[in-house]
Amino acid sequence: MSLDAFTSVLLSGLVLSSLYALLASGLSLVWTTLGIFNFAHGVLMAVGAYVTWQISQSIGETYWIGYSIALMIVVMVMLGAVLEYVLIRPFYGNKNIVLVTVMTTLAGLTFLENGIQAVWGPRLKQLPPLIDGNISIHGLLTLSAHEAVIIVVSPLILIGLYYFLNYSIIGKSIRAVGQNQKAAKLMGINVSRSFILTFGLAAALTGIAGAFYGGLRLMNPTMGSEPLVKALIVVIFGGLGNISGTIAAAYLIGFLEAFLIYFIGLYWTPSLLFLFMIFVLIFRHEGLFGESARTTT
Amino acid sequence: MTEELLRVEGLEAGYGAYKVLHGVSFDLSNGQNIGFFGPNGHGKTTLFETISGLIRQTAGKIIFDGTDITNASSDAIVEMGLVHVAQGNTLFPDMTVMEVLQLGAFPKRSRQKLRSNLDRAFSIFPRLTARRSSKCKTLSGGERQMLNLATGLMACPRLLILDEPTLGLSPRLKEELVRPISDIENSGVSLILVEQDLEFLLLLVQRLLLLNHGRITKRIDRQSEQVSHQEIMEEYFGVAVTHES
Repeated sequence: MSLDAFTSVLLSGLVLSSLYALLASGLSLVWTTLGIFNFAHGVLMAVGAYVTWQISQSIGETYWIGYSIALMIVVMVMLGAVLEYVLIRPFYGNKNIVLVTVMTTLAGLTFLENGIQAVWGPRLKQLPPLIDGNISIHGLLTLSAHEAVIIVVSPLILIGLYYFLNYSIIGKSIRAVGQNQKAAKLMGINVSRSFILTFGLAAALTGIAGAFYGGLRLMNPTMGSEPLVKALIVVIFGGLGNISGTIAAAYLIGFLEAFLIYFIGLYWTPSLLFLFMIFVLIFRHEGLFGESARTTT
Repeated sequence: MTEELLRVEGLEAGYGAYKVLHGVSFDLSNGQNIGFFGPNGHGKTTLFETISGLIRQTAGKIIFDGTDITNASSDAIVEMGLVHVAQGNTLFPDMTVMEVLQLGAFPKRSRQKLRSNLDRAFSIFPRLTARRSSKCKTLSGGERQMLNLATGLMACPRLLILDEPTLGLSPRLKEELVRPISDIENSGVSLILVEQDLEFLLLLVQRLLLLNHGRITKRIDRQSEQVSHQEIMEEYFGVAVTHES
């Protein structure tokens, strides 16, 4: 493997990892707080990309795409709240909530995917890059400025998420709800509001991943399906209910995927990733970064 | 501020078709403390979970400080100063003692007092000071119970409901809880203490209510009546308790 090839694989690994981390942290947050798995999470990536595209068309393409992304985040938070209200809320207290919400979130996925098709049509679209041009470092590696922004901004967003969850009172209340709903209620925490906030936050993170992705590749309504599967691997691999583990796993899986693609090609890479996950889970049931004994309450 | 702090009238509640409370009524004045006792499974926990908004009542009324809170949400009730420390609460396994205490001050009315309330919590429960960075799941039963009480105090309660604070504790640890609970009483917080351990209850409250089959079947005011432990036990078990040896 030449140095050139190595650096380009490393870079594509970093870009992939960043997108997976954004996607998986939202998925993990919803799982930890609400105890459900959201199958509509991947399609939110497409929704985020299309909404960004729509906003940039409406306000005019002369404006920097960052403004459209900022507005999209607001839309995604609201959409997340609506999805929680429609797909999840009616089933709280149902003892089969995990299974029921598999179906309702799959319904949401179908509805949103077809909705995108109906609203924006089948024609492929692409978002402009966040920053034009290329960056070259000592002639060793060259990457687009857009990729550089993804690599730098994604970890910043995730650090922000980490600080929010661990150091702000609202973030702590979200973690509390995930660990013991009854105790959270008795402390005066509004559990429904925490759920809405969590869903909105997860939708926004995914929307950002979508907007980043839309500047890299062509957009289509199913653009989130494959990343959702990867995010699922990342979340389980990182240890369920552990945001830092999820983020670490996202980077590990991203690099692993980039190197696998280089060495064995696109065809077998997803299968090998799954094999790798199963192999790890056989020896570490709690995931790679999960704590060995999670207390259930 | 009205003289009366809490009034419960004809409260009925249960789980689905299964009714647990059959018309419970009692009241509590500001600054007063009462104790609830009674056998397991007769509705003590259901009663207080209904009062704190975790379970919806099917009939009856709950008035706190002149406001009807019968249909209020649990967070609104805590915000008003009615704080319920639940039985055997495991709190948040992956959070540190300090984080839990900070969350205890989640209600808006208590956020400004975070600092002074933290100092008060650590002075009442010095053992928590050393464990402030430990996660809840590593605490011993006694420490967890102390954290539960301390967390209740963080919310600036006007009425604190303590549901079986001695559950699962050794006699020595129970003894250790008497002083902090009487400290709480002396700080002007009204207290409803729910206990199976009558000895413990008699150390801390003057007025006792016996909850039996979802009804209050006996009210004892120890200030006006001279009631012995033995008499209460007879009432409790329905027969004279004698030690044959």
